[in-house]
Amino acid sequence: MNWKKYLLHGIAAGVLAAVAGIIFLFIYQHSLGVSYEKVINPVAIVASSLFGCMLMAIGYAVLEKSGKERLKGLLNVLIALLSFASIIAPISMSLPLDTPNPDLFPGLAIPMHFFPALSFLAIAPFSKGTK
Amino acid sequence: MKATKFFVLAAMLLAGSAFTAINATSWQVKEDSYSVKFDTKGASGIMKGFKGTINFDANNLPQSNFDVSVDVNTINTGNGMKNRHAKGEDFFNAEKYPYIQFTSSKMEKTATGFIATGKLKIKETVKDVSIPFTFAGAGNEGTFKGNFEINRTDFKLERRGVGETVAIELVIPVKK
Repeated sequence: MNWKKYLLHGIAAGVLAAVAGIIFLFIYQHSLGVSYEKVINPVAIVASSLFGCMLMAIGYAVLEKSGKERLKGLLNVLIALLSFASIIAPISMSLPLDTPNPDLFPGLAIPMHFFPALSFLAIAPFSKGTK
Repeated sequence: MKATKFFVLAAMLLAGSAFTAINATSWQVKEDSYSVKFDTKGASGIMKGFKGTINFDANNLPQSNFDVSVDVNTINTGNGMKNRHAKGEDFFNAEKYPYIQFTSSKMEKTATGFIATGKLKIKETVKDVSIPFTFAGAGNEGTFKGNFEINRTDFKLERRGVGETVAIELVIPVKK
């Protein structure tokens, strides 16, 4: 059992997702002339990306420890489904009333909900051989 | 003869002035510092675009009156989807009925402040409502504060999952 491999996988994926999220945040806000700084900021993006990716890494590690690595495909599907289901949060949340253009907020937050899963699954093949 | 005419004219003006009503003070709403909030189960938010005529004098309530409106298109619940639903054809229909209007017909003093009775118009429905309010004035400025409730179904505002009783809170800073 190589916990270090999964720790590195989780951290690397979290950092990648956070970088993508922060770049997307700046592009989105700049191009549409909106600001959601009271709701979402780079620190929150880094924290949530690392948290999500570490959860996925723990899932992978648990499967390996229990000798059920064949179920990783199923876990990948579950990760994708949970990412999709999580978009209900930005759609239904109410922003502070002094935040203009709340209708444009889901367009920012929904793609970000897929970044952790995307980066985790994208680098999963590189993590396989690590000892 | 000329002096008599002048005397008669002056007497008529004096007599006429006894029946002239003294208007209540006219107040202007301070832009960007007022708030019109609503709160019910499943939705809460604010409306902007508050404008109209506010004539108020605590010592001259018979001449005091409100004729004000808010812009339905400014409704903000903090959620874009709810905003769109609220402004939609099957709720406020903001395109056809862009304003909510209140016109007072009577003002009275109460133990805690005042009460304005008048007609509230939402969409095509006009209902009598009473709005209790307070007024704290100092010099050329003051603030009206009022809280009241309406039943949205009285105004044919139908939506499942949204509370029927809507609490409304008004804070309107004004200046002369």
